Amino acid sequence: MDELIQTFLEETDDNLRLLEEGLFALKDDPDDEELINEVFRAMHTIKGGAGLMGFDRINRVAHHLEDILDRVRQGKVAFNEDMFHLLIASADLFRSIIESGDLDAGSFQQRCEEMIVNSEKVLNGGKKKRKARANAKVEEVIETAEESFNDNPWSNQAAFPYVHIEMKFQPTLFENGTDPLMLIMELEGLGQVKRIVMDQSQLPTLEELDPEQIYVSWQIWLESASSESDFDTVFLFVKDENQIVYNRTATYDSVESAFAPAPKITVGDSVVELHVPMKQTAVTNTNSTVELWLEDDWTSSPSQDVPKIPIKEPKDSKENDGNSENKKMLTSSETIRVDTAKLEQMLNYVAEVVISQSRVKELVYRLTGERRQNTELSNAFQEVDKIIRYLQEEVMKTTMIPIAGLFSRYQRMIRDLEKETGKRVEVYLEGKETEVDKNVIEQMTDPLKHIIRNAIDHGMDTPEERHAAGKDPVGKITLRAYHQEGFIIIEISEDGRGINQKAVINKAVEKGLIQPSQKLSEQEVYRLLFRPGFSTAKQITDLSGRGVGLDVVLTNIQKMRGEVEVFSELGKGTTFQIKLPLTLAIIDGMMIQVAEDRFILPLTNVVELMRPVPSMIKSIENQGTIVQIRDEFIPYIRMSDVFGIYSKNRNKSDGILIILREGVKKMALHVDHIIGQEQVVIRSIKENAGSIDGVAGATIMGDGQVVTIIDVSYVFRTSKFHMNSFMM
Amino acid sequence: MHPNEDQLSTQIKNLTGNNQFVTCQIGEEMYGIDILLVQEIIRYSKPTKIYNANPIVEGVINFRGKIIPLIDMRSKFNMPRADYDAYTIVIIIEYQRKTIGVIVDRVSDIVTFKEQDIQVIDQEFAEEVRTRHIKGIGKATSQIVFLFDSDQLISM
Repeated sequence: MDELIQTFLEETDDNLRLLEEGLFALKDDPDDEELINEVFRAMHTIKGGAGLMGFDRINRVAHHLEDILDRVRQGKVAFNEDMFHLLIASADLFRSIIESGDLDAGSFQQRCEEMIVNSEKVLNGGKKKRKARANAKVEEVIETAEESFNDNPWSNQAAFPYVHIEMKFQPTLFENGTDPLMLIMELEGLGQVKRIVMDQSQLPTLEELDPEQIYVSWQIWLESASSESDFDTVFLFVKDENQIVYNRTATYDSVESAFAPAPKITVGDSVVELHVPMKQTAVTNTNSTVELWLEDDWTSSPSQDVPKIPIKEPKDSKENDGNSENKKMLTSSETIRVDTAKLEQMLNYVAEVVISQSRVKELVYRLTGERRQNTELSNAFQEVDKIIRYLQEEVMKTTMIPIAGLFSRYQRMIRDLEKETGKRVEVYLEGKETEVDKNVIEQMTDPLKHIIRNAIDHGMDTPEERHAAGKDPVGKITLRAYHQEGFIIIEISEDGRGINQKAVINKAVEKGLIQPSQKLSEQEVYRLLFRPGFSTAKQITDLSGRGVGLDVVLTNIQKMRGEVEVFSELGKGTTFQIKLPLTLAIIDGMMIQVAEDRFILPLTNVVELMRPVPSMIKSIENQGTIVQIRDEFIPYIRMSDVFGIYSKNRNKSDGILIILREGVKKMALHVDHIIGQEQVVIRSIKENAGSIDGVAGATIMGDGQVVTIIDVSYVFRTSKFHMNSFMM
Repeated sequence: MHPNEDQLSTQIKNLTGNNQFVTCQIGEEMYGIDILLVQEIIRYSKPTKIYNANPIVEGVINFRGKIIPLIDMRSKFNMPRADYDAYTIVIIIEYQRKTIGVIVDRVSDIVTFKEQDIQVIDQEFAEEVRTRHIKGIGKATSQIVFLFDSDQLISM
């Protein structure tokens, strides 16, 4: 049961995401049928799942909303703003229900009821609107609109008291455990069955008959007051794959008049062909349409009021259905749900294989003593190398997902912000399909949220301001993602006010973050925005401006070995650019040595290497040390001092200087040796050893030895002398 | 059964599943580790030093692809460190999803205690003799074995 609930939760989460994504897309393009179907399917699946699990409240709410979408889907009403807001609110409601864990939604009763009331309002409103709009148009249009509206027999129960149901099933129906008898019994619950007709024309001879297939189809007439959606519910699980058509009819007597009165049928009796003398012509002539079939004596009489039932040629329909079945199976087998922990485990094992393999290679070479001579051996190893690399890439790809999902989450927020701030914003998404490691996406959610909030709250100008500046009153915010040289770049751009550098500097001086006399470069000014406690907003709003935000953003991004850059032009807008590694599992590292210990520095933090020149290294007040690199002074620290490693090598001229950077901050790290560069798999040491300052993780080298990966921000923190203290 | 006895036997059952212990020597004394926790016993080889870690952590090693810390039991017990030699042993234990290696002087045996041969250490007793790591004392014919409390054993 728990597993089922888990599946339901996961699926519903997915579906809510699809729902939201679809709704936003639909808002821009309300006539896109594919989108409508997508949104409908999502809601339908939520409803179905909830029904299956017995979460009645969710089921009921979803049911009402599905009704709306179904009408949109059938073109009875147009998708409108009200629906959009209602459905978005419903997604919120479902999400809070799911997150609360109260799946029976007892504590959400009121909200659920409100949602249902609202959905009815929207539905009725939608109809009126549709009418009103149609009225405004050409008369013809009015007529068709009115006609189609009044023509809908479902809304005119008095004139169409009967429901005619046609059920034609896939031959393989029994495979999914559906019993047509159960459907008929359910139908009986919706009204009084007036007549059941079974078509056996497709029944093969006994030799050809496969008892596990279904060959017959039914027509049922029901006297019923139930709504269309009640019928939808009955056929919920069979409607998609099978040909099920139902509609209201004015009479069924017309049919009956051709025959002897129908005995009352109670379902449960074997539903055999009842008194419809199927003509041999209809049976043999299988390629004739069923309309022809309907022309047989029992419907040849005044049956016009039976609404046109779209029935195709049996043969054709069979083929078509077969195709669509195949398609369906294809799509459903395209994806499977896999626990991400499993994927990560897999990735770890693949990494393991890489390590073990290089170990074996080393051993074999050592044993044979000849590195190049044994070409057969080395060829074999190269082959294995290659395959493992492919494998690693493929496995890594499995944890990559398009960033679209992340972006769509913010569309919601942006809408809300629009309302709260009174600013008007149009959102543009670029590179939605860019694939990003799932872990990266998870960890980026909050930082991006902050940046977008900032962009709208601080960056975007009000419609009046925009108007005064001669800009389009509707602002433009672009979320963009793309790959660049093994990194993912995420950009958030708006065409708002732009950053006023003077205001930033004044604020920073006022807060005591910098001295008035300090000269800052443009980038340095923007960096101030990321300082803890910095906020330029004149008013503290609910959204941002509490002085927390960008500094947290920066820390989070740096934790992922990423960077943020800001580009801005006064009056034209601002862009925040975030650069992140493709994956968090593997890094390019530079292996260094101090005394006997080896360490790995992430290559992204390494700017350059230089031989130390003693005259360039100056100690100030016998405390902090700086080094002059060309025309720049940067803090200097010895690796042995960072970690308190005992090293005999204290000579300024020995070893090598590594210029590190973090953001725009630089520093020189003095190490004994550089061993080389390599790609390493990051492993956590936290799991077993707890978290340790200065250690970002560890990796296992080819020889099986463990080497620790240095947390570069720790190196910057330990550097006691903050010459560039005004910088980050 | 007398309620106290009942309580006692539950306590003992909590102590270990089958009362089998891997015994090892730390300093002068013998200690016992619940055999169910022991994954492997390996020879000590120099681990990778982790600077900034708790001083009882001698370093980390690669154990079947996992990076695990080695804890020096002598430093954990505030005893003078001994030089590691060819007999220095690392017992790999896994408990509550955490894997660690404990460095001990010697490993001697696997011992099974009868329930009546184990004296459970209650809190009062533990406070009196100031022990944190021991949950019971096993009496074997020739010696006394201090039985580790698994939670304390993996604590750092």
